[in-house]
Amino acid sequence: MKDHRARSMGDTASAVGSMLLFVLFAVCMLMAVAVAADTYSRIKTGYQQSFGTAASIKYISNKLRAAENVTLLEDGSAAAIESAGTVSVIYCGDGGLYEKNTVPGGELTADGGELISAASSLEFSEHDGLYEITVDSGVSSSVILVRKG
Amino acid sequence: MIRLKVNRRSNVLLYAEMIIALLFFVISFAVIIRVFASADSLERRSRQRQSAALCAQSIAEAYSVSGDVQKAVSLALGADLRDFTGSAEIGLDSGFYPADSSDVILRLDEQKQDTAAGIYSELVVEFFDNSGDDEELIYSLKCGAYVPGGAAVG
Repeated sequence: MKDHRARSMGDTASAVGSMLLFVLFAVCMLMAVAVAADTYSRIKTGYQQSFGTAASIKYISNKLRAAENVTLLEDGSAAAIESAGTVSVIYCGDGGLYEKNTVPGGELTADGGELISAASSLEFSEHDGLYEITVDSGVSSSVILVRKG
Repeated sequence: MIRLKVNRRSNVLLYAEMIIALLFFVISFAVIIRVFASADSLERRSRQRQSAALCAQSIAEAYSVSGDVQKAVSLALGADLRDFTGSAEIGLDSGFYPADSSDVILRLDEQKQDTAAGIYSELVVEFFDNSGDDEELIYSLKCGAYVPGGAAVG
């Protein structure tokens, strides 16, 4: 009787031990998955934001460097950049940066363009012989100075 | 008696198997955490480098127009560089704004050369990561400005 009880206790201890080890393993795996998901989402968001604003800023600054004539429109929220017989109107709207190509002397309005990249706001200003471009992605913003001419 | 011995032996084997499996998973867990930590730090470094490149480019553009380091830094970062004598160090926060507690250090070093046609000045812009124990170079850029008789030309 005593032997049987001792065996039963041993079996229970063994089962509990196994369960505890399994629970420990499950907790470790859950933690790993949670950390991985958090890191992945941070990397993805950071990459999208930095890529979006950096790509927009580089695109606009390259356009400005190659420009023959630049006209700021709508209090600096858009710009008409003339280069090689084409005028590109760059503006921000509906969560994105848009570009509309037209001919010199055509209508310069900030609508009907094609989406370039995601951005929540765009601002142009000119001072001290430089253009200042600010692109906001909603969470972070990037600023760059580009010299005129 | 024999049954009890067999049962005990099987329990020991089960525990040994469980412990080996657990060890394997713990090692895998440590490796996974290391991989994610390095991915996270790489992403941070990449973002820092991108911001440093934009800042350095802005300083270079402003410097090429004015030929004046103080004005260039003021226009690009809004930092006040008084008593600039050829080299300076500015503390920046993680968003690349001037701050007392500096995560990033901006070092500027200007060299001027008197030529027959005017003054050619060269500016080295370097960003260092100051968040760790040692300073680590994030981004470096060399730019120049030519001043023929007072008015600067890039």
